Amino acid sequence: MTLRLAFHLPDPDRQTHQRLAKRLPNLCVIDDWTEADAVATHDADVAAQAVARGKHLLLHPPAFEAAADLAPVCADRNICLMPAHEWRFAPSILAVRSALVAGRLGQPGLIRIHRWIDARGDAGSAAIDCLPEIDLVNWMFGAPPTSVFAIRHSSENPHFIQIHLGFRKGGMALIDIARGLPEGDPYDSFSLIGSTGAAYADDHRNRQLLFTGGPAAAPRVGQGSTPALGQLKAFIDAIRSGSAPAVGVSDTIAAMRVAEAVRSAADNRTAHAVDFG
Amino acid sequence: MVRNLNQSIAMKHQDQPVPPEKRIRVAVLSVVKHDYLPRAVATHPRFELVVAADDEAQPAWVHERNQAFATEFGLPYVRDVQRAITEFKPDAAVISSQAERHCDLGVRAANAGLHLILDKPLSTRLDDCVRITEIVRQRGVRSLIWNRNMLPALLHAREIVRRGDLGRLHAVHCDFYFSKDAGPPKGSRRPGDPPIDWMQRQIEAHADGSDGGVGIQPMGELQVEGIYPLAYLRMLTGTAVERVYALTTSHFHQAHADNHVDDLATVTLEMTGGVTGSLCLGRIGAASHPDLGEIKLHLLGSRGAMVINESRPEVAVYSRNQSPNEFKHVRIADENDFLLMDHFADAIDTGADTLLDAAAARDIAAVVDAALSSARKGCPVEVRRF
Repeated sequence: MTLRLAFHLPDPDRQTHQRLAKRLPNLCVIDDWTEADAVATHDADVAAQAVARGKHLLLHPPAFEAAADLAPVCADRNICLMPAHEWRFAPSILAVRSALVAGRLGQPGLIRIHRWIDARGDAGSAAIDCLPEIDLVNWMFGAPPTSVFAIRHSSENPHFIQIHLGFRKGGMALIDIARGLPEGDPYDSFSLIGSTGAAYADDHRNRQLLFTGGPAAAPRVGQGSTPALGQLKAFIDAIRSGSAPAVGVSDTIAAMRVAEAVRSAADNRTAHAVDFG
Repeated sequence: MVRNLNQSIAMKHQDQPVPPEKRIRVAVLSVVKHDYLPRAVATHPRFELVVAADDEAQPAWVHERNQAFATEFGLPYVRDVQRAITEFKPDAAVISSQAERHCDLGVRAANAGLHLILDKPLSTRLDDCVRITEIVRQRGVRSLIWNRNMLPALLHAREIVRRGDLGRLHAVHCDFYFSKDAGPPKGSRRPGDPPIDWMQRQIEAHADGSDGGVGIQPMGELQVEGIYPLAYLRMLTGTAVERVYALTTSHFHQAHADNHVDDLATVTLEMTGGVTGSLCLGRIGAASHPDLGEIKLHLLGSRGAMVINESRPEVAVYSRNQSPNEFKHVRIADENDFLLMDHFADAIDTGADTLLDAAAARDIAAVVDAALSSARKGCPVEVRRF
């Protein structure tokens, strides 16, 4: 059966997603979300209206804060509600996740993440500034942290946060997010050290060399639109199969609660033991 | 490969032989751990090994290793440190004993007026670090604690930082993972089996050079290896660490778990001038990297940023029937040993401080000490300042 899908997102995201959706079978992309079977939106009001009309929902930030209210309604009405954690669908992350789930890396011990963007980079709302990284470590460790420490940089460089998390069984994560690169490429690095193996998903490895005089440049080989496409596919698959989506509201809420604890720790320059249940 | 390179460098300098009065005579005071220290000394034309020595009361395995080194280098081996110093009149001492003895041997050598080359860490006890630093200062001798700061990638990074390409540094991060095994994996001890004896495990580890923690006192990786990455950050930032927050665990190795020391650690560093840093460090197992380990630096400044792979330059070598234990990437152009010794000779000649002297190593030991305290307490800890 052909599923009608609408994207209520700002451009250019809307156009990008519409283009990607056309690669999926038995899917019809329409403009009017009120006529769709499924809606992808970043707008909390539209999300609420869509759910009220029985439409499946791919919830994009900054509407995550509506997720907790929407979840019971969706559950009652058998509506698929999937938060858009697009970062989980990056091929580099999926490769690490696959090795972990297959048991090749053993018990995760340490996750290190660097995310650097240039000063123009979209900060997003404060609520989701570190949400992707927190969600990734929660996902890989299988549970939220048990301790939180964080520091922001000095007033000279406010667009920086370093997050230090402890997990059960001695697991730990160090995350630094910096917004202050010169205009140009961002940098991402994700490494997971496990008890029987390790995985290193580092932009440093994904550079080519470009010689145009002077020192060589190292342009990045990107992952293109595969994350967005993978997420879309996961959403559609969940709708068709009736199974739980790849990302649940509980994942988003857990990450948001940790992010709040991170902000508190950074404000107080101290470590907190936390229990997220 | 590193040893062959050093030998070739030494051979180059044979064209200009060093006159006897310029040679720095060196006593090898215990070489039970990393013999690459006295070997590095031996291959530099300004230095001449003249005697190996250790305390008579040391166990047999210590004397065996010392004697083996002495025999290879044609040195007399004297089971009396003071007598060796008195009879052979060295100018300097290279000390690669168990870490818990570094301070004692160093103090004795410094009191005798000898310049010091010490294996890392300076000591397992912070008070010992303070003591030896004071003695070195009082005696006016030069000291160098072994480090990796002269590796090509580190020199390259330093050049870029000094040139101002990054502007003012805001944040510095180091990953320092040695992909080495350290005995049986955690969880392998069967019920009823005794805990692994730390000393015995270290003695066994000598065969593959992973006995950095040799000694009676168990040492976690922060103590064993932490000085290397912290020395990198110190060199690149020129700043001191004021406060730390750390998490540690025994994640990989039964010996570390049995002896309650870390084989995996993360440290957040708050440094002077608002610089923020971090360290991820561990002995993560041979399966977790095709080479020595993932050792990287990430630097962020007001005008730019840099990602450095410490192992470069390197050459990839793959062959049929290649041993799984053989590194697939071979480090090349590594002059760290020679450059350190050249630097030390210069310090002796001019009276200048070395790039990692006893005082600097003491400060780094204070950072490690604070990190371990933080991990025990679960809160940030101020670093002791001197």
